[in-house]
Amino acid sequence: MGKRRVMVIGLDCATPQLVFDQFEDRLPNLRKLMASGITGELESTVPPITCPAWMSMVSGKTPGDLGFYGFRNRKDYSYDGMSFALSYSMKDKTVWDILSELNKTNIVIGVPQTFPPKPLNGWLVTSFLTPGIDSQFTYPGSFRDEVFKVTGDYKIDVDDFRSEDRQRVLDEIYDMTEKRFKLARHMLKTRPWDFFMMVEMGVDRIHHGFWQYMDPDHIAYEPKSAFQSAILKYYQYIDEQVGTLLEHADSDTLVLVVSDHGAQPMEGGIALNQWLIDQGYLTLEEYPKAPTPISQLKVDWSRTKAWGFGGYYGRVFLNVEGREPQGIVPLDGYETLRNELISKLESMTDEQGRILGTKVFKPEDVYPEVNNIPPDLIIYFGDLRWRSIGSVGYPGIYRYENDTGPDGANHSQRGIFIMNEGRYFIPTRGFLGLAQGPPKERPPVRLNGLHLMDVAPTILDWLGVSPPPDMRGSVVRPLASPNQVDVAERTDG
Amino acid sequence: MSKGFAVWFTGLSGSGKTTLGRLLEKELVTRGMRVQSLDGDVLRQGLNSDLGFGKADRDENIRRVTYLAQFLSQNGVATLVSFISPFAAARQKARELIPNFIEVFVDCPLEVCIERDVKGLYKKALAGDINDFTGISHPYEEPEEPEIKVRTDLNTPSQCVKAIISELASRGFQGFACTEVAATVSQALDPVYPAEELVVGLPGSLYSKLAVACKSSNPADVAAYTTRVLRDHLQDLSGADPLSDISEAEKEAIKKRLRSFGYID
Repeated sequence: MGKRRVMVIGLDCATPQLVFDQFEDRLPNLRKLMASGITGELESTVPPITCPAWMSMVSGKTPGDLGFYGFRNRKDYSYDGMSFALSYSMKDKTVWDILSELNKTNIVIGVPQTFPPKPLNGWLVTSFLTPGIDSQFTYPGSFRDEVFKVTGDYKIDVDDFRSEDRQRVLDEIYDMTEKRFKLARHMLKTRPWDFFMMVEMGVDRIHHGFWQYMDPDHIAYEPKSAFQSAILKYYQYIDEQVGTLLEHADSDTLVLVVSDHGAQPMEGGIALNQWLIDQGYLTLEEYPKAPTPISQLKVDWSRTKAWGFGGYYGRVFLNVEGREPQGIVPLDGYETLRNELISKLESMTDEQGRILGTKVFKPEDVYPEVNNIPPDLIIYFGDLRWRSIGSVGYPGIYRYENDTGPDGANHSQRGIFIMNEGRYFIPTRGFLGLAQGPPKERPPVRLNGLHLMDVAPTILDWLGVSPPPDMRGSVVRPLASPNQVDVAERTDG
Repeated sequence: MSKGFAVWFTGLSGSGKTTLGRLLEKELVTRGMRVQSLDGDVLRQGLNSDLGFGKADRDENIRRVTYLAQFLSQNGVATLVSFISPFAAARQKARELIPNFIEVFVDCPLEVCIERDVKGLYKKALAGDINDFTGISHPYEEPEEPEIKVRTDLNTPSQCVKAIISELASRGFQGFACTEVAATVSQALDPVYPAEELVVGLPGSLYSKLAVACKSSNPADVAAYTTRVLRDHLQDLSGADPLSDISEAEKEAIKKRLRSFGYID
């Protein structure tokens, strides 16, 4: 047997209904992996958002363990004390931290929450949470010059995403993706590696920007749009690019193609703070004439029980006596108020009076450990078919376009998991590397119950490293017989 | 293979031998050493369960432990022995047989040990329920020239362990991973932190991170990243804002992007 390696190709937001159903027969490389591999829907974190999902995946921990619940987190109980979850927030070990200590060589490109770059044994390029290419975005620092040499000007992400000029946005997505894969190929070709991982953000960007042109059921569907097949074509492009990476796998390489969450059409937005005002939980000193972010408004804290944040999901914070500076919710009324809010939010309807299907979570119910300061409630409006709008000043609570511009998709709770070993998709080679025949055969396996947190222990297991006992995920073992596929009993509930 | 040694903790019951042994073990493990602890209480439940507390049995107890520590130390293991070992002659015998023997006198006044009475044994001994109890009804012969003496009534356990690490470092018993890393870090950060101070001063838990940061072949990278690891550590200790080294303009750029994609409003 040769040297075992792992190649993880992360496609942010790649969604099961497109990869496994609608587009499957047009994605030959992913299909090749699936034909003899293990596939399944990959349950994401609560909330299913880039941050904390990728870090949960590469550490095998819940957001509660990690102590961050989204991009912005409360750093204290003041009303404006927020901090960003960047690499510093990540105190737990990632798989490449563990592998670095064991002297294994890592290539990590574009994984969210890796800026500012931390040392590893290998090379790292940070993610879209990097201010720009003028910032230090590589490890080692000197590696930056090589990135520029290979890619021209490395593209961190799409600029001015909310622009009406959709063609430019589309071109930028392709430009970004092309450069990232080019860099990935260069690294795979020129470096020794035990662990390779890249995350491509373009899939997420194209869903958010172009879903409404593809989906006739979408509220903003534009028939006969020039962008009708933009998403399909981009997936085909991604598939092609994935194919070029697979050329660097050998028979003992474990390949994973994974996403941090899925996507679904966005139906609209709920103005969360507006709703809290209407319901009497939030009082402003002065009501704005035009939509204004809550952070720019004067809140009358002496008459406010709760306030919220927008984003792809909603967050509610309670103004608790003795906890917040001007808290008015007595501690013994905290649970009652949370339950009251949950009941009201979950019975919310759309404008036609149909139940939205909103889900509300208490952090301690979804995370076995809760570190740092979580929101008091986490809300999926319409099970994430509706986003949460934090700004105040709209005529009502229902919005049919994003407060920051057009948006075609929102996230969904499950992403994709595709895993295979090189020997099952690479032709067997004989003496002197001459092609001898087709890859080994194995029937495809479809698994249920996979979770993001299973990815980290699975990577370590393949490389002969025992997953640390505090990793919550389970090892998914690619064994020869489908009956032997083994997902050990989960401990995270 | 790193050089083996035996740290022999001797002192009254309740003086802090086991506590220091555990802390030292943790520190040495994180510094890349192979460590084996031999604790009196533990061994008396297993290997030495046939022995009592009379002079002959106590000598036999120590003879067996000496034998184990000798083999472990000879084979490159950092051996931490925590036994009351009240008799100077028995400790002298151990010193003669065990390579790289470091005697640590865990010094704590009897009255403080009685007050601590972690196992409730002093109470029983003073009531006459236990015979041959060291310090009460059985002698303890203080070491005359121990390699290290720590006062556990005057210093915290971590201060005591630091003193021991310092002594071990000065004798070159640190484990190669740790000293090499410290040398590289010291060179990178010259002239602020001499390697010897880093070896003693940094908690072992930092070494795995520093070791990774030292792998780069470019000295500028090593300097940048070891500095970062050390600064993160200090920030963790002080509870300072970890993002303080990202400029306001950089933070704004990140916020702008997050807003543009709809992650935040």
